[in-house]
Amino acid sequence: MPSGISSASNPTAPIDRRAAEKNTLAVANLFTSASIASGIGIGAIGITGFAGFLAHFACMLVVSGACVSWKCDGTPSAYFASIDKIFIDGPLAGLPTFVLFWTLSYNFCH
Amino acid sequence: MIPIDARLDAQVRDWVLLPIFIAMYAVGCVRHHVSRALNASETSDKARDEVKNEITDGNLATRADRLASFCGYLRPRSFLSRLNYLCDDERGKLSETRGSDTSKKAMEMMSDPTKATAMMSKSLINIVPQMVTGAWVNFFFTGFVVGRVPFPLTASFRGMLQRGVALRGLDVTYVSSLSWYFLNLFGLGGVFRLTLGANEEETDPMAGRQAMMGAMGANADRAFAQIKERLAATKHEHTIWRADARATAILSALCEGKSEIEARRIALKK
Repeated sequence: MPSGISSASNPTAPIDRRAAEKNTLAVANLFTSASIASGIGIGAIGITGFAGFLAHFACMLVVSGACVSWKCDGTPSAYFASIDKIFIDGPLAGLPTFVLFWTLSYNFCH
Repeated sequence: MIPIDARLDAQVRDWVLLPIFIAMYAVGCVRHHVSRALNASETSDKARDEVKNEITDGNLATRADRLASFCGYLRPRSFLSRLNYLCDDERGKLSETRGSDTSKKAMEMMSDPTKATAMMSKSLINIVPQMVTGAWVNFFFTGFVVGRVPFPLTASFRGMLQRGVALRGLDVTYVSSLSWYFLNLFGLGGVFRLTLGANEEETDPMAGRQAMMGAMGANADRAFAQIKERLAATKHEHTIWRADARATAILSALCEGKSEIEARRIALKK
């Protein structure tokens, strides 16, 4: 649950550091769980090769979009210093985990 | 070389893939708890008091710094009372000397053998389980193909990923157990962060803070003297008397159509 770090009406207000750290942690956890689910799902379906990576990035986009619209109420700037933190740092952290679970479930199902 | 598409026995995955995964996860949990136990038992009462004193000194310095930076928000009387509390020559907090032993103590702490072994054991406790697990995997699970990676690889990865498998015609995507070990090594980091919580990060800042505080303790006297000078040199001005002019500037800038940030910047120049 992201906590607001600065009010949207005052963009120059200082950023609450503890809330920002909590938000980063929440995003990391969210994307790790999403990567695990995506890995298991994509492996079970049997997609291999670059198509698998594309499917994974599509899932990450969906998850980022859902995060922004549901959890951030549509204004990511109120919760994160930059939008890159949601769309780039998060999925990047989940990539090795995705590969691991993708391999695992692919080997189990095929 | 026609790539061969092989069928793998289901027992391979039951008895190799899963056990290695579970074993590495278990080793990681054990390492996490052992490192937490080791960190907890390290601090004695005296060490804890020292750290407490250093943190208090650091906070005092930060508070004095902040006073110097933001004194414009205070009434003259408030500022003077804070100034007296901190900088009074006889009773001020910043005038309390910590003695020159602190610098010697800091030097001792740096070369203290027990501290050195503590730092070494912290890095060892991360490396040794990885090496041991790698050796275990290599010993028990060599010589056969373990599974198939779903992503495309070039032929140059064959030497790394198919160690011990003597079939030259086999597709590079069929890998040996060691590559499964490396996949686990990188992938389980995220899993640990999820299941074991972010405590991994909590133990590290404490260690970093202790080392930093050791260096700061030596400079406590100098830092206090510096801040005292800075406070003595600040000309206090209660900025409320400027608020009127600044508000006017902001409003006129906003009416001209400037953005909020620009308007604020213009006003601060007044």
